[in-house]
Amino acid sequence: MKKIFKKGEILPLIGNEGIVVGALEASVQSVFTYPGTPASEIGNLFYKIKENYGIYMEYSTNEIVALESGAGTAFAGLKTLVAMKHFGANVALDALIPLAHTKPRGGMVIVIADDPSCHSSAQSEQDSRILWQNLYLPILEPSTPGEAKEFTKIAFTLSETFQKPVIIRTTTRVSHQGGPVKIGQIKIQKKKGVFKKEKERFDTMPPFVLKQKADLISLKEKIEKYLEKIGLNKISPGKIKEIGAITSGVSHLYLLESLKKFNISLPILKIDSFYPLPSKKIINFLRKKKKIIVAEEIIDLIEREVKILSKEVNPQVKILGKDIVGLVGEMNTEKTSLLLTEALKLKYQRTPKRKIKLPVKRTPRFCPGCPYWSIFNALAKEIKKEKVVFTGDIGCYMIGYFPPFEMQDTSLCMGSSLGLAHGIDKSTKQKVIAFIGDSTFFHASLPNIINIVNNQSNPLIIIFDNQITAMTGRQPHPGTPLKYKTHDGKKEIKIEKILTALGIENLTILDPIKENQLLREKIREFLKEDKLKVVICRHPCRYVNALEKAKLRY
Amino acid sequence: MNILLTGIGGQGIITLKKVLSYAVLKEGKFFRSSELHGLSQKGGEVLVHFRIADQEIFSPLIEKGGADLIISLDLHQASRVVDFASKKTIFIVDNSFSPFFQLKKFSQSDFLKIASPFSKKIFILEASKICQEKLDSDVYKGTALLGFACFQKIIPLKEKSMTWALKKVFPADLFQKNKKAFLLGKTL
Ligand SMILES: Cc1ncc(C[n+]2csc(CCOP(=O)(O)OP(=O)(O)O)c2C)c(N)n1
Ligand code: SF4
Repeated sequence: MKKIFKKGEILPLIGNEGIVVGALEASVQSVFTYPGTPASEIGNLFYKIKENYGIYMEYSTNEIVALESGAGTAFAGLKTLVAMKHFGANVALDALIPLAHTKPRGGMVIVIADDPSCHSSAQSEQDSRILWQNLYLPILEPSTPGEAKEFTKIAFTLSETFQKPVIIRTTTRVSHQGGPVKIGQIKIQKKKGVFKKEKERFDTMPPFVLKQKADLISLKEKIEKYLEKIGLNKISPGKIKEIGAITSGVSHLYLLESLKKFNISLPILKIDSFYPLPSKKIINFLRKKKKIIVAEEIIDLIEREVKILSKEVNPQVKILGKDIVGLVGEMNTEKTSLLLTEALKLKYQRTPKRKIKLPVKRTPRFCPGCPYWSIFNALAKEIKKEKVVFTGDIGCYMIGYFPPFEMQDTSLCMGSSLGLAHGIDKSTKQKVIAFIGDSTFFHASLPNIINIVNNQSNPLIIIFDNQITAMTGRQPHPGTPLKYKTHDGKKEIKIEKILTALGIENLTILDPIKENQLLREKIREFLKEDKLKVVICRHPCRYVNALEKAKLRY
Repeated sequence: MNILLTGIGGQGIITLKKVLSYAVLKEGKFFRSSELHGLSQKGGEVLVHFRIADQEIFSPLIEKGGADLIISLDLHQASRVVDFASKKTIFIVDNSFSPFFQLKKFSQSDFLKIASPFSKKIFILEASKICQEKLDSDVYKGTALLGFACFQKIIPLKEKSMTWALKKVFPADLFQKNKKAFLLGKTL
């Protein structure tokens, strides 16, 4: 079948595409993911090219399912990539920590994409690097699309060499950064895996798990040496001797930009592996320095380690980082310039704050023709929103938060609308309506719905069934009709069958556009009686076909 | 050169970025860009940072006040990004505004009032109108604005590289339309 990427070509790619090409160059054989910005393009691209490269790729039901399944193929000897956004790593964590103690036979790379400044993450600003404390797994941090490709290849070799999963951590400004990338040799590896039994490798029963933990921790030094040998964590020399900078990820680029602007040259240690941190190198770097700037995204994790290490060699050194730029929001050139001006006592004219009155911001809204307009219109017509609690969830239906509807009182994480509705219904006399999408239904709702049935609360659950995972770019999910799943999925799992099996009697399936009157009637019924009710509003997203139709053009 | 592309989710700003990217590489130049996906694309504001240079440049983001060129597919959106503009900034803006819940009207003079103090030159062009007339749809307006920027030599990219890039990015039928839109840029 036609190959998409040609050796030697220089293509404009974003970081996520760089990861895909890196995995192809490493001969990846199986890929598991659940969509989530800023990681989604990794899955999207694999979905479109998997047949061309003979790769097994699936959209799994959620991230822990993706991780466990990926562990399965890696245990059986296949080179495996699993990709998710940061919140997905929370969902997968229960499997991830024990997995770190095992030894996959095939190389296994796990991509986790953070979103500093929450550009596309309603829930919170999270730094996934903190996971290292329980994982002791290598965490590589690329800063450009080119590095995203190279580091993915390195991660596969590293994983095969040390028989451990390796994590690639990106942030939005790396995943969605565009730049030139040179395509290398892509070799396809088609072989079936074999699961060879070896309990001590794949099973984490205690007390053996403690031995596995000791082994895992003892790898640190070896991996540190290995990374040193292949030239990661480089120091670039600078003219000024007594001040140095330690950078990671995209913050490295911001600092370089600021240095250029001020025409200053500092020695820089660029941290490519957050774990293991190159501690010896850091210690040497700290010697004879008066000041150190640390530029990293989100939490001051490298900074804290540097502070601890400095106690040994150079307790006087002044370390400038999040004290100056703060712990909230993403890094940028303004922030690295601020660090430089503090460290070098430069006179830097910050662009003066201008007093301009900007017109109001355009908030997100449903696309023209979106079925959700009809659902919210029906709600708005039947309900005084002050009288009812709306527990929201994660998906396009969150746009109901914005004007003109403003019907969303809570949001935590995928599936949480149901738990919150249950708790609020149990503790108040108020009417509660819970919103949930179809992809989210499969991802995170079943335990909550079972709990609502079993422990008996009476919310109205509206399932926004647009037959696709719309918000993240229209990826298929288990309920997506076969006609929209051109590249995978042999089954269409019906939400209503699951609900009926759980004993939900008060169930209506309707088309919110064509049967809007019926929807309004159901809402009115709910307001009158005190009974659990589920309404599935089923009408395809206007762009339900988008992912499949999109032609691959490189 | 620092170019800020802005518009509303669904207008194809990310595709315009792709066109620029290919044209830049065709000429052996370097670029670095940054885009956002997700909620912001659902009819909200979209902003793409695009930096071109002869050699490697670093930050994927343009600093406040640092844009040399702002191309906007909407008058209101152009005024939303004046933070990135300064006395050296050229604006190329389509003369259109798509109303939204909180704002029903926004005129050329509303935009000029905000942007004029922070610009070297402002072009307000009838790209959507002309694309609608000549090509039956205003979806091509972004390409027309790129055409204008290219023919006026505001962006350092040749017509030939731009058409090559259009061909790379669009499938055959859409390429023809976009090429026409690009050439319409000459007449704007
Ligand atoms: C644990 C986790 N994984 C992924 C995401 C990214 N994400 C945001 S919305 C969404 C799903 C939306 O699908 P659906 O529930 O069908 O709603 P729709 O957007 O189609 O209305 C996802 C996966 C997330 N926020 N949290
Ligand atoms: S992407 Fe689909 S579900 Fe989301 S707002 Fe647009 S039409 Fe509605």
